[in-house]
Amino acid sequence: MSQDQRDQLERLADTVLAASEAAETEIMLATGEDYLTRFANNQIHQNVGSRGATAVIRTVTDRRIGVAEAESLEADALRETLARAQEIAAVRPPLEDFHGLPTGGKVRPVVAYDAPTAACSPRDRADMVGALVAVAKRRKAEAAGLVATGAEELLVANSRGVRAWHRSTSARFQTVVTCGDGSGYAEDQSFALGNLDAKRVIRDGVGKAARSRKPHPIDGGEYDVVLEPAAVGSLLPLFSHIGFGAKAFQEGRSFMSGRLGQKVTGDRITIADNVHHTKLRGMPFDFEGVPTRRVKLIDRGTAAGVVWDSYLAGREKGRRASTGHALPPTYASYGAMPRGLVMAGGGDSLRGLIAGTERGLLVTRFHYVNVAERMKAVLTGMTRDGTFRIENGKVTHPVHNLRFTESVLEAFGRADGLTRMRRVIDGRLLCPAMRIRAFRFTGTTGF
Amino acid sequence: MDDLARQAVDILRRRGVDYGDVRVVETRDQDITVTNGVVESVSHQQSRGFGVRVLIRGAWGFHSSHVVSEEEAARVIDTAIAIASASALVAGEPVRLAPVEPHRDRYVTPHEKDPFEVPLDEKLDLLVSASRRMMGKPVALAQAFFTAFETRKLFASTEGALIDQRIVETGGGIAATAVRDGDVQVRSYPNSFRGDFATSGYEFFKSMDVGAHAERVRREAVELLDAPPCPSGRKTIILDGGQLALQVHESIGHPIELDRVLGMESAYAGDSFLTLEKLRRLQYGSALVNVVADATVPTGLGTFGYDDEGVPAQRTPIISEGKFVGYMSSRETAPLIDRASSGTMRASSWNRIPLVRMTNVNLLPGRGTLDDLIADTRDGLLLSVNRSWSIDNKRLNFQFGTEAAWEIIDGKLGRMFKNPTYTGVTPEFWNACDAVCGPEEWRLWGIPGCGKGQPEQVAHVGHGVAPARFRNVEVGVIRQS
Repeated sequence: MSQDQRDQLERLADTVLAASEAAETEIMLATGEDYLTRFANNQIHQNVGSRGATAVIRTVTDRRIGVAEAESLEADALRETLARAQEIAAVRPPLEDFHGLPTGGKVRPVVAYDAPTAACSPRDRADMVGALVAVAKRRKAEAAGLVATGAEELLVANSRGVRAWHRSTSARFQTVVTCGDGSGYAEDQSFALGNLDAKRVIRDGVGKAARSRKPHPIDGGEYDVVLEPAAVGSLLPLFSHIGFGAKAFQEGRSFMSGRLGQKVTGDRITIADNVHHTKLRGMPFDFEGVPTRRVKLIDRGTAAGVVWDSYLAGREKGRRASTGHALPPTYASYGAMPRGLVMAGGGDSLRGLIAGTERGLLVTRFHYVNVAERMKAVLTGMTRDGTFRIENGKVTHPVHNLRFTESVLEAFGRADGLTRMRRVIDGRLLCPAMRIRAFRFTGTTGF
Repeated sequence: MDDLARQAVDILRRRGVDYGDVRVVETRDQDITVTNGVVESVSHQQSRGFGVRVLIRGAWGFHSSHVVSEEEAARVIDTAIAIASASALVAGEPVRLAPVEPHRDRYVTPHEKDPFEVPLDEKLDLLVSASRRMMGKPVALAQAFFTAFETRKLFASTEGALIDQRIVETGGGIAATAVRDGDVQVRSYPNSFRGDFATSGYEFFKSMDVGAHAERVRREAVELLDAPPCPSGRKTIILDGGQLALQVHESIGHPIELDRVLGMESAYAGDSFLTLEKLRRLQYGSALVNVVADATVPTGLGTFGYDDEGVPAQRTPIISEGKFVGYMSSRETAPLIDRASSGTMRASSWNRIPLVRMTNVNLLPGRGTLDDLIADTRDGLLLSVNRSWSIDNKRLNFQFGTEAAWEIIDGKLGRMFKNPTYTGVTPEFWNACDAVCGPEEWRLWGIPGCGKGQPEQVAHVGHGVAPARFRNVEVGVIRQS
């Protein structure tokens, strides 16, 4: 991608804005290529690529809003999409508490583009898989997972002067290795392929699979747990979804509703949304082109804030401003959402947390987590890919997987140790490992 | 579309691939949300592009583009070939495709009224009216939803297939969210998560008559705020259709996907406890449990003419009188169990490869009405409409929450309970099924949000069920503090 492509997106946006008959018009244009090499049973079984483009146009006249989207940047498609948005706006009743499109602001750029990642070849990805598979085969294990690379360019412009542009690349190496009845997970991701620690992914994935063979049966109940960063990271997205968006907050459906400034969880818990963090390097503005601010969500256990878009902030009669967390207008009914959760670490090491646990469990990650009761942030899910017994400060043996059903607010309230080490999870979360006392497991499996 | 498909197949043949296919896909969606009598969002989305699969010396490559032109087709095919060559660097057994007759055909979803031709203001009037009937404290959100999808896809292969399909889907529903003193309770009609969906025209949405149910939905949401928590313990439970559909989805539909069984999804969605030696041996459920995967049943959200490998839609026995007898498969996976493809490969868009996906995984009806079943239950719970779900990566240990439960005492419905949950292990649960209601209670439910694959794909699938009863189920696992 180049300056030429940025200029091309800007020309397309200018053409649409000039052609619009609406009082206000906004356009988001995105283009990119994504490649994903997927492997299972020690072989590449799916290997895919895609060249895509998206245009989303929002028009506003007399508070009547129309939204239309096309997966194309061709002139005819943009004309048709603009016409469709205007048709919808003409029929739709006015949204009385909508106060207009935002005027934007100064965007602090985030460097998140790496040319070698954008140029990564199918062979480069296959070579990474091959290195993992070679080690797995030597250990009589079977590797599954993916190597993915991509590049994207995005522009948001509106008729009130917003013009925000960002380009990014992404690279991800993830594996689940099985070794007999053992299973191990590892992954790394960055905006640059060269930053990936492939050796660690291979070592951790294969090593954990070997160590988790012959798991022992275990009963449900309350256990002290040491959650690795991926386990913490598998709790945070839903926790965030039900709690940290302004829409649920306004509607009284968030555990943060009416509780700003109050203690909601443990003193050790501080969570912010920060797309500027060097480990995350997220898009520095939202899908309205408003600069994305760092927002403290939970500060040492106290509810500190939620994230806003311009519409939801506008409903607060001047008491709130957009924090730059709008979703694309096609998802308007979901409101604003965090895009780069950062959980503060502590002073502990993973080894230290384990050493300080008399009887407990070490959890690699959770699977299929879902909300059981939203106002108490009760989540449920299963452990997978390596769950181990801790006895007298040592990891002694693997155990069968367990189901947890637990209020995350209450569980975080019982956290008594967090690691300094943090890992990027799913490309949008930065999480430490954590020890939680008396974590509640409500079911077990036979594997 | 037709020209591009033919041009792409010509290029594939000239390049000498062992097998190749192209899907040219055009979609459009309309999505409306009305909240508290106000039109919260109306959006229209459309998409056009094509994807090419190539098989070279037993290894796959796929590439796709939104630029629909012959020049782009050549570029995309050459990239797909380069990708297949890279796949061969870390290969296993070469892929063999089960044979299929190369069909040349056309399929259109039977429907009466094109949902995109219905004026927007007609839909808005209906949704606003339904929403307003649910408004008023303590209902914080009175919502009404409408969604329509249209997919036109042209499939062509180097084997000579040329299949043109137009799939029309319509859906919607209502939901009331009552909020008071930190408690949030939801009731929905006819199903949660934006309602119910079918391969059908606007007539399906109209037939739901959402406005007629608004008063009840509002009343029950409000009553739930004052309802006691669902009691815990081992119980007899009856699941209503909406909840049972998701129970079938998670604990039968996903485990029978043969690609999962073969480990192809193990790094993400997981694999399956239904390993190959269990075929025709495992007693999956009681003798009352009969399940088919049926892509031919009218109005099912998983109904079509041909799958995305050009295999005709089929009805495949999955569980017969409780015995596990069949998987859902593809041309690649079926030969591994010496069967023909069951025709279940679908891709969510032009930029995704087809995967083994549920069609309509249906629990066949038994006997009697829901009233009969309740009257036949001395002590139990009726659980209604899904609220949450979770299941392990082998599809054994599950936990569901529903919007509401009613106690059943001596054959009669009693008090309503809030926050019901139940948990179990798949074969034990289905073997504890001792009644399935009859054809008069059987209906199809559409689930438009089934996730699978990397990059992730969302499929539209269906489940036909009648309410059913299960004995000795663990209920109420959430700690009430």
